[in-house]
Amino acid sequence: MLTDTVGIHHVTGIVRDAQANVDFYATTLGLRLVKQTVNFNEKFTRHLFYGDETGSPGTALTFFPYPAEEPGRPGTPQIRTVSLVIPPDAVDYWADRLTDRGVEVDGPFERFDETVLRISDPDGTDLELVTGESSVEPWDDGPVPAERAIRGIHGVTLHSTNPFVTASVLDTLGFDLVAQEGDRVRYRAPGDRATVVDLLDRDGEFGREGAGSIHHVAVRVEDEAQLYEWHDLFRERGYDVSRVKDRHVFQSLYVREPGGILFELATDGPGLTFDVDPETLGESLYLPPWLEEDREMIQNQLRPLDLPAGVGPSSDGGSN
Amino acid sequence: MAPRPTTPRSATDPHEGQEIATAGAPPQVADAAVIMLHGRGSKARHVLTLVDEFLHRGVMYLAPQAAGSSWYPAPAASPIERNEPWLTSALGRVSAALDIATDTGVPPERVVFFGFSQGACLAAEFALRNPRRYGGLVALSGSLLGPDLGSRPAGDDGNGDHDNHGSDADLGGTPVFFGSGRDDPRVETDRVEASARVFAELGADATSRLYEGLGHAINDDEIRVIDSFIERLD
Repeated sequence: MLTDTVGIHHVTGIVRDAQANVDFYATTLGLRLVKQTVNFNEKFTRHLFYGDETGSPGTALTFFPYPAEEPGRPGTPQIRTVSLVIPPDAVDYWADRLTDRGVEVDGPFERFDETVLRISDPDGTDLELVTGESSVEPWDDGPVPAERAIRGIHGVTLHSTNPFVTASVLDTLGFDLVAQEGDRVRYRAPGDRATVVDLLDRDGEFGREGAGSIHHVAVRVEDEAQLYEWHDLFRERGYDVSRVKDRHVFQSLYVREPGGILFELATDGPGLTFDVDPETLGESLYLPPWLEEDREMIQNQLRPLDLPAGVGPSSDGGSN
Repeated sequence: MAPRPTTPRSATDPHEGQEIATAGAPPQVADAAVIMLHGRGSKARHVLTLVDEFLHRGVMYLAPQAAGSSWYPAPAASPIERNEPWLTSALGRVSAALDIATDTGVPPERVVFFGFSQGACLAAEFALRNPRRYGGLVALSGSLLGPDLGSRPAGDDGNGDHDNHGSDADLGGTPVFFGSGRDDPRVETDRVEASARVFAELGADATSRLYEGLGHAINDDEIRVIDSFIERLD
């Protein structure tokens, strides 16, 4: 029996420079680097995961750094923005922290009774820090004080080539239309975190995927059995749907909906900590078993990465 | 949505005239091919969505479409004649796909057959009835057809007519893989293993693998097998 998704599972972007990515998301934004691995289908490409202490569903941002990638061009069909939740009293803290670190801050401005700061990451990925409530516990061992720290994903903004079709996919997944402000239509899932999807009902030039583009947004599915039910449902409707894939930390499938947005559906389990001590998350390169025999070759192909303070074998761990 | 029955063009050749969808390298530059056979209720364009996962340069992917999305009507263990004339017509479509490959200069030993469910049964039947060295056969969640798999010599059509190719025909070391979920509600695992044995006895490099908890689906390990079969052609 299919149940509605309760919200966003993770968001994945394309960037160029892995080191700049780590410096920005772990050091400046204070997210925890919870996993370093490679693209399972392309073993010489890193895949970096950031999130709360365990990278739990609704907190994870992941990136594929392609060193030679051309910059993307914003447009349709694209996931234009990913927004992150900050506590309502942390707006000034974040504006100051980001400005101090040379990040250009646009705002604050008000939208849907929330306060929004707009920024870009070093590759030009559009981000927002949005005030709000979230059930996510802040990571209390990062560079940002816990009372100001990011509390997971707030949502994403979609710029589809066909908002009506994309809206029907959101409706199918369990998101409800809750508000509209100008050409921004807000959908919300019934969960307690990462529940917002804004749909832009406006024309736009076609964009191009590249560095700074958000590749896909994943929504949460209870278990693998439900994934197969979703698979059959989307296939019956004639959508372009992938098979169910084992990503080790979750199972998933992909749907490219006719409005052009790539959705992933991902199971909550087994999660990033299924095979490692939570204290050592993100310290070393994880490889799936079939790539393990090539570890040395793969590690030699990847550009070395300086891990942020508090991560790595020299760290005293120390998280509680 | 139930597969919509389409009106067959011919009572004796019900799959005649169905499209053969393609992906990958264009014919001018293809030097290997994968013939991809969809399962019951599926479509050629659905099975082609898998191509991304084992895409290689210079490989052409050919997916014939079954009329009404079903290759034949009766279960795999039924007497083979109960699936006629659909089965013979379906084998004709596989043959047509193979002809497209050979016409573009790709010899059969550089053609991998891949099938899922009914498509797996069809791929296995085609290779057994037309024995020779192929690039490979990957049959997932399916087996050879007919009530008795143990007595199927190569070239045999399963209808007791053993003289069409002769039983000394040989698969010439063709890599053959049968994969299935141990809990697959639609596939009997002993038939999967028996099918691999039939191919092994007929000179194929045949293996079978059963997976716990897979159900009627394809997993990453099986995708890697297909990928490795195609990679071997490089």
